[in-house]
Amino acid sequence: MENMGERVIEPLIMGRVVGDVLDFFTPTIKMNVSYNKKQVSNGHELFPSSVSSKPRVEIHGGDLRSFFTLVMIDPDVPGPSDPFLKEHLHWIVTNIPGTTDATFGKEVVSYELPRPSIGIHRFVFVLFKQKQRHHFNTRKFAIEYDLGLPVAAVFFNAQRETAARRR
Amino acid sequence: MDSQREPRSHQSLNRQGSLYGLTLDEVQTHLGSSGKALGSMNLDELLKSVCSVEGNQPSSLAAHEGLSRQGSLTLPRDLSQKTVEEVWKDIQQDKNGGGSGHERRDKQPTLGEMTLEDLLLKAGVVTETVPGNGSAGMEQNIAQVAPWVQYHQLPSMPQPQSFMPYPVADMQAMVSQSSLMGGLSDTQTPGRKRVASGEVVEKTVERKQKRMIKNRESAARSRARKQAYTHELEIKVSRLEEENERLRKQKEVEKILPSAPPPLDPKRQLRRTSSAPF
Repeated sequence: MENMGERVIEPLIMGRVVGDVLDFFTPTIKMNVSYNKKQVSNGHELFPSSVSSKPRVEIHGGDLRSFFTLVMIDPDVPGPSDPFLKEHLHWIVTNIPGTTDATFGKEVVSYELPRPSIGIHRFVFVLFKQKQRHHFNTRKFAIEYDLGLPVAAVFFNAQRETAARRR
Repeated sequence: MDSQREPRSHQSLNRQGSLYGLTLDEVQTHLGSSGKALGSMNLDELLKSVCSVEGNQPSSLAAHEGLSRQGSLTLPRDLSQKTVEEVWKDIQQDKNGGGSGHERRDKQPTLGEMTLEDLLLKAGVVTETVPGNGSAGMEQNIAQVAPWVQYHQLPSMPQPQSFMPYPVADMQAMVSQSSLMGGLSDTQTPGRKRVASGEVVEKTVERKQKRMIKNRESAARSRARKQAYTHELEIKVSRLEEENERLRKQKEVEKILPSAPPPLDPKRQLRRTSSAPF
């Protein structure tokens, strides 16, 4: 994985994305978002007409066994001076395998094209690394989501398809 | 014609100390020698005399504007020709029937003590208004009044109280002041600033402050946008320069020292095969 550098997050802080939307974090994955081959740079302005279709989102990092979730939002709705509707959700893609792009994931919330009405809006793409499926802990999960004790359970057995079985 | 509450026109008066707060007696005083008896004057003439400037004022500010603006306060035909006395009689009759809904229950036992505003209200020319909600047209009219009207309403002005022959210089000062204050066409300040009404001035100041704050925030956001993008570009440039340098160096190194021998091409290699016949 290439060296991200501490400076990568600075434009996000200056543009108040870290603050209004996110807490401070350390980027570890290089993500390229591009509309029609044009890469999205922090703070650059695009025309709504050029972002009417979903962009290409490349994940440079991780591995094929790690999965990522992408979220796109607008924190300046309906207008930046009084964003009483913040945030507006535009897109969610889950289970994106590492080193691939968003087309390999599952579109949980379909892409909604940006249509800023009042003032200049920011549109933010956020990438999360999903927790591994290994080392899952059911008890811990129940506590985390405050589920309490189970109400039902059942189990079955299985082995390798071609394994020698008792006749 | 009785004075109904429903509006005859879409005009409304701003209650807060307008020229219409003058009583008819006061109006009569100022018309004095130049105007005819108030009672026999019809409403049209009454309004014109109140709003016109006496004599010929060289200053074009309030004078001409006042007259031309006055046109926006159009009296309904049937009313304008009515004389003040006739209107008064109607009011008297209506009073017996009960005038409800009127905020100010001023009793005007005589015509002279009635204010212009009440007269016009009861005549049905104008409607009552919500404080702070004056119509723009009316405001302009009110602002562009004859300066002598202002004498009444701003007693703090250091001018002698005699009106008839007033010095032209002072008049112009007043005129310019009134046009300045009244002529502001700021759409966000519907309150009239001409009169020293504390409440209205406060509101407009408040609004101005809010606007200023919003503007400042907007400017701050604009700066943040600009700086974020500039910084992003700086970082990218720096990264690209580093990479460029790295690639150049690598190229140099490769020229001097050829790197690992090219991978073996099985097609070109010598192979051991048993192809000989022996």
